[in-house]
Amino acid sequence: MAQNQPSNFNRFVEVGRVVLLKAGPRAGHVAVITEIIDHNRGVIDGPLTGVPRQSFPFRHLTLTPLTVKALPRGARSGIVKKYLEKEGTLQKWESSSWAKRRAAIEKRRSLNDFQRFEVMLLKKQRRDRVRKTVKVAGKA
Amino acid sequence: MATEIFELAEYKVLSISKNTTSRSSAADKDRSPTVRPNRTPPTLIANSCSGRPQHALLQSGWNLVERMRMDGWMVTRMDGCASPGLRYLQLCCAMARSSELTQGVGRLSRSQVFARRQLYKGQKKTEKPAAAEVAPTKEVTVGGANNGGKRLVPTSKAPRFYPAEDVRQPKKSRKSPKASSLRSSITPGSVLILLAGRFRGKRVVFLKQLSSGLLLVTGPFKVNGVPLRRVNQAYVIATSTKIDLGDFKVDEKFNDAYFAKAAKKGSRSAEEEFFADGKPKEKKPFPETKSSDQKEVDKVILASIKKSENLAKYLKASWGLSKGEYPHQLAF
Repeated sequence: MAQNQPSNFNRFVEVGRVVLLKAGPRAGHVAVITEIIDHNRGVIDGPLTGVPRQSFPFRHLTLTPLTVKALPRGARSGIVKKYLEKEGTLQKWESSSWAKRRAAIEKRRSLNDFQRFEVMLLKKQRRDRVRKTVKVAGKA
Repeated sequence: MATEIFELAEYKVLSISKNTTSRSSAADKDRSPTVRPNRTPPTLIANSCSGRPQHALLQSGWNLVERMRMDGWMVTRMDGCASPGLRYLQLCCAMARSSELTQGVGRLSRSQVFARRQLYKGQKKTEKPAAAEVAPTKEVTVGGANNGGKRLVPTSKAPRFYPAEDVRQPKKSRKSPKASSLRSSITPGSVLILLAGRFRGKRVVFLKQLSSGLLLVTGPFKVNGVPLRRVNQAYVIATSTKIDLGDFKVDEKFNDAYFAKAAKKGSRSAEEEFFADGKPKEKKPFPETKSSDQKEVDKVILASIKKSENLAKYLKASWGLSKGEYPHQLAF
């Protein structure tokens, strides 16, 4: 009975699941689960993001909503690359607001003092324009 | 101009020099902190409890309203003063006391006490008179027929004993201060953030390192009001922003001597100097040469700053940290 019920979850640790690495030298990059080793670890591979094929603990991964459909279990890098390219998974990831927000935060952190100052000036300009437009719109 | 001297030390017994012995002894009896205007001699020095002469010249017609202690200073409030702003007059130090934290441990350090008690004022700078040279030998008449009558005898006898133990020689230190090296992130034209001193928070342009190791910086003065100035690189954040100085070379005259203060002559107290001739001294105008030097140096920098749109604004703005910002996490 319970088996037929739909799950309340929609992201699963499964072959083909796109994951975000939280630790290790490639932290912040995405990869795909290609094999489940046990309930703690799986094999991940990211031929397009520079993540080498390796076993990785799930607790250092974050599941994304993306999956690579019909990725064969235990596929090697060449096959994974082909599937990723075919489905355009990386483009999908990069166009997600999650990835964009991450990139923006990264960019902000890397700004130097002068660039931060310029951002402040631009934000001031934006604020000013918004304020003025809102005022005009409110009168009409 | 008639001046009166108020003797200002606290309850302690005061030895007052010259004509006022009788008066001081009378004051000693009641030990009251009264102010004793001395009318007869125009200048008189009263010894305060710190043992150094301290006095203040006050214009006649001023009335003492009250006196109180503020931070170890004796402060008197005067009335009838010509300028209305001068209501409070900080007259003299009533011995900065280093209150004891626990037995034998004072609140203030030795040097702090030295500074607060202004002991530097009383320091003696006299040289000892050169000792008259004594001849190594002298002639002595000796009795006895066979002794030749006269003899040359050394003026001071050689010691009969030599010390058996060696006198320890203090170890010679072969350490010498290293020439300070410039941080690799600081190059001529770098924008620095000052972290200490009166211009803290200002963004300035680095020009060169002086032989003392201090950094020569300028605002430029027209942009943010920071003059040509020496700063310690320890109190500076180096940013990666650079202003293109081209082949601009800072004049050799900007060395440590250029910034050194002229040596003060004598030991006139600041107070005395301030009230010389009964009037506050006029401020000296800023030397013409220095302001023209400033303009000359800033000229190149200003031209370079103008090429970039926001650079002048950036240098004008001061730097600070807001909530949740930590300097070690920021990129500069």
